[in-house]
Amino acid sequence: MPNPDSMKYLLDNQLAPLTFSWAFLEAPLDVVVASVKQWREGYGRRLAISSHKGEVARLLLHLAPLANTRNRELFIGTNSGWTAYFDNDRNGGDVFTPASYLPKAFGMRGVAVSAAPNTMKSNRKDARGIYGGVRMSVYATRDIKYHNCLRSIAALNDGGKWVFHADGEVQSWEEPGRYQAKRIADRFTPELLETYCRHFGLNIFEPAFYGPDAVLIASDEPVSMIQTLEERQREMGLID
Amino acid sequence: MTDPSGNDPSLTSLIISTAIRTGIGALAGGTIGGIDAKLRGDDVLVGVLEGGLSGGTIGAAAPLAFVGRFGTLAFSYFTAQGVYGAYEAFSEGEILLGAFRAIVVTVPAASKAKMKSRQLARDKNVNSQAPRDLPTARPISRSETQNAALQKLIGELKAKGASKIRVDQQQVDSSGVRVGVNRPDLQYELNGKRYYVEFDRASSGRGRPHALRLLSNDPDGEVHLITLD
Repeated sequence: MPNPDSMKYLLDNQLAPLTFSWAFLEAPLDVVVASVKQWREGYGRRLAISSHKGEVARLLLHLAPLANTRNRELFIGTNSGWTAYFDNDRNGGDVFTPASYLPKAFGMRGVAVSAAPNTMKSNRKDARGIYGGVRMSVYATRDIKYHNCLRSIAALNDGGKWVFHADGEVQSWEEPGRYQAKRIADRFTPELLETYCRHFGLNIFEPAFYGPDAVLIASDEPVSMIQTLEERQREMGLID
Repeated sequence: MTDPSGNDPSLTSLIISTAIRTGIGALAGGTIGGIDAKLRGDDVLVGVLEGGLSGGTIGAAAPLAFVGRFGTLAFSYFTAQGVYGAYEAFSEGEILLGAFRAIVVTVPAASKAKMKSRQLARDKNVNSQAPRDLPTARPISRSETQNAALQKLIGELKAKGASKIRVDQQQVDSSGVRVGVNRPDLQYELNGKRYYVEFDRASSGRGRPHALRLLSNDPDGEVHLITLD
């Protein structure tokens, strides 16, 4: 497997796990925020919405504290037609629901991405580290078969065993030859994820691509555990 | 697809499921209230009605958001009330009443501990770090009916704001901690509660072992078994 240290990650994962998984919705910031507000309030959540401005590294800090279930979501405008989505899930971005629901319900395409280094060296109960991997899912505005996932590609350590999954039809922007790599981790790397995302006009690892406008939505989603970013980073072995 | 035990989580069965919860809550509450009234020498019927009303209300409200949010608080409150009730009875010399209240208070905790003690060694020894979530569009079965039902259910859950949705991945509890190497077909979080769903064919007979393993790994979770060919 390529050395995790030499791979590209958003902000070099200094704010991980906040930067392990995030998503993009193809609509301006205000439209995405209005859609999320309508959706979340529609099933009874009470929301506190605040606007922020700044560089992505500073904006992401508004997500703290981290929680066992996301209750703080940050929407950041980008210099493209897409809005970025991050949340405060303590395991690092629980983006599947918004990235797949909003496209179909509000007519905006969605792209979910994940890039986390694999630092788990053992399957022992007391081993410290992270099960890493790379993943990309593209969600359409209409159903394809039973769901609206146009394409999903993932190569990740699924709890001790590396797995590769590719669901949906191969798209014109893919390099399917890469999926034949002997080592599963080499079949879908952060670099390949970055290349694929460029097809959509998304420079996912480029900090200047994000901001300066952002909106934080905090909700009354029930949570039973909260942690500071530092506490969680220490627990995951990201810092000493 | 409808499970008569109320375990089918689709929206159409919500009313049946709520009625079952209310009934179970009312029966348990009524029984406890009646015995408590009899032991303290009060009107048994009044005790049954009071207990049944409380139990039924808790049963009906269990899936609601605010219950999930304040579940731990409410559980602590009722436990504290029970402990005080037992203490009060013992200090007034009502040994039988005190013993009954002590048993009622300890049963939920004891049953959770008993469930946890059944956990398999290979689940107990798992590293608590959860792997990243895989795409959920993956099939769970060779049965297209099951795959379609799974995706329909996920669609309904997303509309209700469900989070931490995983398909055919190792069991992860509400805290995001990996608690077993078994792979429920679907797991998700809704209103502060962790749910596990298993799809089985009518002929498989694996539903109950699936449920027991899921609950021994996470006694706070709720299991739904869906029988579908």
